[in-house]
Amino acid sequence: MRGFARGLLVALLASACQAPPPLAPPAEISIEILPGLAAREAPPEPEPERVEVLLDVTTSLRDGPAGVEKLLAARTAAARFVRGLPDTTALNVRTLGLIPGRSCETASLLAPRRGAHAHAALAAQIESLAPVGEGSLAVALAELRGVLASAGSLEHSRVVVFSDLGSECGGDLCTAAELLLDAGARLDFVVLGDAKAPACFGALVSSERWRQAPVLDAPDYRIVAYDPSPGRVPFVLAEGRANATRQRLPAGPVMVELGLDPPARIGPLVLSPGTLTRMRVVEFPALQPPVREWTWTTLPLPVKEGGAQ
Amino acid sequence: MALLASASLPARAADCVAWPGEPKPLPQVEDRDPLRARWAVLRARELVLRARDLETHAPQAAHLAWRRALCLDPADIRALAGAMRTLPLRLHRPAIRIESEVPPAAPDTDVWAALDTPVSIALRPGAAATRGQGEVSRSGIPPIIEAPVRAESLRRVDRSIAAAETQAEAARFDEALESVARARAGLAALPAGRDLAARWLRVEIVAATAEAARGRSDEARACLARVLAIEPDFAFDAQSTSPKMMRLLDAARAQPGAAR
Repeated sequence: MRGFARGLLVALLASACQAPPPLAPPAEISIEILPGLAAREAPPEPEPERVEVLLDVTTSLRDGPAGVEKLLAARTAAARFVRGLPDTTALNVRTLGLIPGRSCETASLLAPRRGAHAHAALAAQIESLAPVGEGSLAVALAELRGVLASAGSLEHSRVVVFSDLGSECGGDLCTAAELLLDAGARLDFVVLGDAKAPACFGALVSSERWRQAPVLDAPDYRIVAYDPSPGRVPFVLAEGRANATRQRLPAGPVMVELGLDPPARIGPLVLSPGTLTRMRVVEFPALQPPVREWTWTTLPLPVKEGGAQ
Repeated sequence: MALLASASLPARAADCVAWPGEPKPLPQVEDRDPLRARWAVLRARELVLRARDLETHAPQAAHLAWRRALCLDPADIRALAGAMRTLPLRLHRPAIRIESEVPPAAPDTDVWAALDTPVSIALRPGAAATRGQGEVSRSGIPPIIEAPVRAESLRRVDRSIAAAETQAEAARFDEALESVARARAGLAALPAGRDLAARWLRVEIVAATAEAARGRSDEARACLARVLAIEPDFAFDAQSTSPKMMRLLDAARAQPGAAR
């Protein structure tokens, strides 16, 4: 029996050593991550850019007091642009107004040129164009979108429109432009004359249709009682997600462990009874060098009526 | 230069809401909370790097990143320039100039930037105008503006300039800019002449004033750069001009290639 009693005493003493620290009045803590990008992504593989010119040389460009200038200016500006593009840039030129008649016709593709000075030859052709018909810019853009989509070239296309934005043949220019932008193309409108651009153009620019770069997810945390003794197994007081949610736990000295990469150990800090400790961590793992900074502030918890917290 | 929505790029409220995972409301670099301000600085740095990575290959994504950086730091000129460079939809309104001889294209010009530069159309002596007949030859008919027509055009331009100046003085800046656009179009359609320089000068000054009042400093500076191109020694009256306009003029003068 004496042996049993001694054994029991040893066991009791041992269990007393591993028992949790005595409970103190509760404190609260919130942990929040202010994150940067999860990782710096490699830029996508470059793909050759292709340029699609849509030149409006409809008969309406020569109407009005400045009509002759607008027509000449449209041709001159388009020819200047085409001539300035490197011959290595894939280029198509479509014209609106080259199909004779009084009805609204579709755009027609100028025969592509190849080899050295191909763009200069196209530019010369542009300079000699004369309007014989009408057409809708909006319809032409919608048709162009279809052509580019079927060729799988939308994302790397830049569409350049030379026009006075005449709307004789109607069509919804906003929708046509939006469809092209949505598909990833870029649009440049070179407006000859003083026609107002559709108001929708401003709204199209502000659209956030593109992929947002993901920031770091809020990591898990655990709060352990601070005990500097070597070889001690950490006693976990609380666990949770670092999303600024408040958590009650016993007051006392603690360490905060965050499941970041690499893991962060913050502390020791003393959680005082009746206080809220607000910890915030700025984490930018994708910067070179990575940045990790933290701070905490302690605020008194409001005292409820009757003295309870 | 007329880049669409360029003036409204910085920090529009609708654009600057916090994305999932970001602090709410979205901090700026001048946030009163030092940690939120620090986050904004780091996040802007990260976005600038990302925008640069993407600019060549995915300009639309780069545009979004530049704009995002502007939300965090609205005064970041690099981000503004980047956002302008990568606008997915741009509007250009090159002036149309009728000249006796078309100058040759400058070599090594960026064709995309050149979309904004004036379009020069040759005025061929002796060519006959067919205005009103509705026919244009295949080679293109040079516009001849006869003296009475020119005088009437000038009167219209003068009315537009006067209206713009009156509207700017009355702080009706949007109307002033519309009048400026009319005046510019009228002036651009006229053959170059010495009598036009003073008018261009007035147009660009009132345009600069209106653009600055609208908070569009880049546009205002561009107008003032054109003022300096016409009159390199131009200076505002320091007594009657706002410090902002004085600074913009200094900035225009300091631009590379500015007239001195």
